[in-house]
Amino acid sequence: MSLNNSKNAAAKPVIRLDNISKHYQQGNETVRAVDDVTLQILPGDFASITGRSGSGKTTLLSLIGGLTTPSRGEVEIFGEAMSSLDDDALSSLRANRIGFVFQFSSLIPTLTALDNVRLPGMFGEKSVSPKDAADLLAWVGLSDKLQNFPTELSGGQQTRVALARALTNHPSLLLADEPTGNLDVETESEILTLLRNLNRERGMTIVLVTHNPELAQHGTRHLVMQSGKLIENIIVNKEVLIRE
Amino acid sequence: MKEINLFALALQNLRRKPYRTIVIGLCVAVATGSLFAATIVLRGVQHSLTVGRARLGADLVIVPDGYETLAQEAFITGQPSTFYMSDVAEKKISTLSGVNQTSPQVFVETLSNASCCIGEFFLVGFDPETDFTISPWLTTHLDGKALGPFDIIVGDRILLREGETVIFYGTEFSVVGVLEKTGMGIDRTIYVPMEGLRSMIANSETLAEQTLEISPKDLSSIMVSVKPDAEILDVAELIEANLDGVNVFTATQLNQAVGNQLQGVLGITFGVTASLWLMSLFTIGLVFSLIVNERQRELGILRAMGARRKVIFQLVMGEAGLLTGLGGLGGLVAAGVLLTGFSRLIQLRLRIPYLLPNVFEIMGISLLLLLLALFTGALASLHPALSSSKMEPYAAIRKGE
Amino acid sequence: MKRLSTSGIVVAVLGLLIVITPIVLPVCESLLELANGKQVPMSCHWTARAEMIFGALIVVVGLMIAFLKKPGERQRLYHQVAFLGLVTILTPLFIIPTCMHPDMACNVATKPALIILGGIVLLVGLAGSRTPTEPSSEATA
Repeated sequence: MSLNNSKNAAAKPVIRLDNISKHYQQGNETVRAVDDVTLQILPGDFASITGRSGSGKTTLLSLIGGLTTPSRGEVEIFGEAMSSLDDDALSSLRANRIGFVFQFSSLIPTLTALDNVRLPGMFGEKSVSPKDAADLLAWVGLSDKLQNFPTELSGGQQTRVALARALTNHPSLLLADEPTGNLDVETESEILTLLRNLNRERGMTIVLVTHNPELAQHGTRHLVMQSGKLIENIIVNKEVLIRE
Repeated sequence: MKEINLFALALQNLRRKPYRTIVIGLCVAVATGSLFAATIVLRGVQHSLTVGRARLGADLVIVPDGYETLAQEAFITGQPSTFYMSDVAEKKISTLSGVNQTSPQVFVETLSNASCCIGEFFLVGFDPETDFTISPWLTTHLDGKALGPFDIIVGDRILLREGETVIFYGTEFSVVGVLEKTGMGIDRTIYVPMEGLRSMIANSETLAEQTLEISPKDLSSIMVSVKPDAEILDVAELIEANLDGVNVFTATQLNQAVGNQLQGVLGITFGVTASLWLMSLFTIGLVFSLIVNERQRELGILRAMGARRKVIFQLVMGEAGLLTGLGGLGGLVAAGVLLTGFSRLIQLRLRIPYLLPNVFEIMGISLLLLLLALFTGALASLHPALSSSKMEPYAAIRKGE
Repeated sequence: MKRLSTSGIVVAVLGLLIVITPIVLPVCESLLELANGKQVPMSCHWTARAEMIFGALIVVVGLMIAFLKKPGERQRLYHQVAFLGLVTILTPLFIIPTCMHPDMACNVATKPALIILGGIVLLVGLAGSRTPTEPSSEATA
């Protein structure tokens, strides 16, 4: 049984997954990292994906972002089937319309914070000027850390830089894989505030993988993964869509 | 960083691990520099032999039997040698079929640390009437002006210049000309008209610190030019058949003598250099495989940011090319500086004729070797570049975790 | 033991090489006796002495650079290194020129070795005397 949120029923989904599966061979065993998931993320959604370690959260996020191809099923993003896009087209999509924030340090250690933020400009439609990068870093509260290298920044500061970097090309969709994974509660809260501002003030669609179910309550949709399956897809006003 | 581009990224990546970069760069530098040095020395020897042979003028050189090696040594390095045979030999040779012209030479070695000067000099008495070694030069440089018996022509490495006078064995001579550099023994030779040399020998008993025991009929060598329609080797065989106690060698054999000397040294050098290149190739290939492996996650994240496969490929190849290019350039510069600085030492130690090739040839060789260095980097990093660019972004990110 | 500046060590090693060059590649004694007993002065002897002194000075400056902490102080010393490198080059060429004869040991080996080493010292000095980099700040929590 599935129920749609009546408010967003008319909007075309940003992301649409139809019976998506992702399998790996591990020796003689087939690992079903994602198993037959059907899902829609609507424009302006702030979807959180939770679940235990190994439940398939990160794999699901990677499928959404085109970082890996499904073993079965179809991924549709911005109305286009990913299977119809070649690698160059997928790269262009990621460069111009999707922003990624990863778990652990994903910054280039030999580049300053400013240059790390400017980096995606190499792959997008236009380069990022030092001023634009500085503005983004100021928005995340790091205007005094422009010339610092990642090793000179704390974990929280690195995550902020990664967030600023993900916003460089003004993406419509932000995919964040446990960005607060190794941060303290206070810093985690600060990062969450930034994400909420992006969603509410700029209408950015966000998909956030988090280990913390409490964080999920701050979004608009809560997805729960278990053993590769999507067992819960909850609108945060407590309306249950799917329950296994 | 002013500009964020592949080149800047590659450079930053190299600076990230300075010791690794320096070690690999040194590897390439040593290989490139060695190959450059060996090639330049080889070309320098060939250049010198070409120039020297043209200056020598003779098709055949006749010396007393058993002195062939010393004579070749004298021509090649200018190492003074003294040996003598009777002038009867010249009279006989001039009558043989195929012989166009003959000209005698007499060798005299000056004293080392004589009162005049430091170091020994190689005096070569020549007959201005019959000579065809120096005379062409005299025609062009002295307008065919007649040479006085005590007028001398000196090689490029003799520290005497036009207008200066010098005393050998008590007899004063005047320098009227300086020969162009050949890189061969001619550069250390002083050419004295036979009349002046014989006079010096005769007067050495009374005027010099040491008496010269050289008979007026003694000759050291006979230069022979062969008729245009005759075969040089045939004439050489004819001379050896008709004269006892002499040795005949051709200009080609002179080159071969140099070649034999060099063969061993250059063979080892080229062999070592080839091994160095191979070692560099494997080392770079291995190191870049390790680099790509350790930066798997980073490359995956670049792909997530929108980098195309081609960009990842270019980044890895570019880094390798930059490393080997800079290493190669460093090697070329270092080898160039050392070759230029120590060229005389190389020449003396290896006992070879050596004249630096012209600038364009050196630049051409340098460019070729730089391209070889770049190609080595490209070849070595091809597999790691291909494998990293083909990997799915997610797989790369997971692998690096 | 506090971390020493690598470049200071490099300068000191170069200085040491300059000092030992006239020992490894010897020049003539101060006077050379000819066959007739006449004694000719050999300027290369004094060239070598002077170069050994400059080399020793380079070693001292190199060690000072190695042990100094502040980039600004090091920069001033690099100017001295560059000057000493220049003097090392100019000495056998113009200040105390070596012998006339091009095939003498001083010209064949010692002089080119000193000029090359002096050139490297000069380049290191010039490179080091550029704007000093500030030490990086500590990461904040």
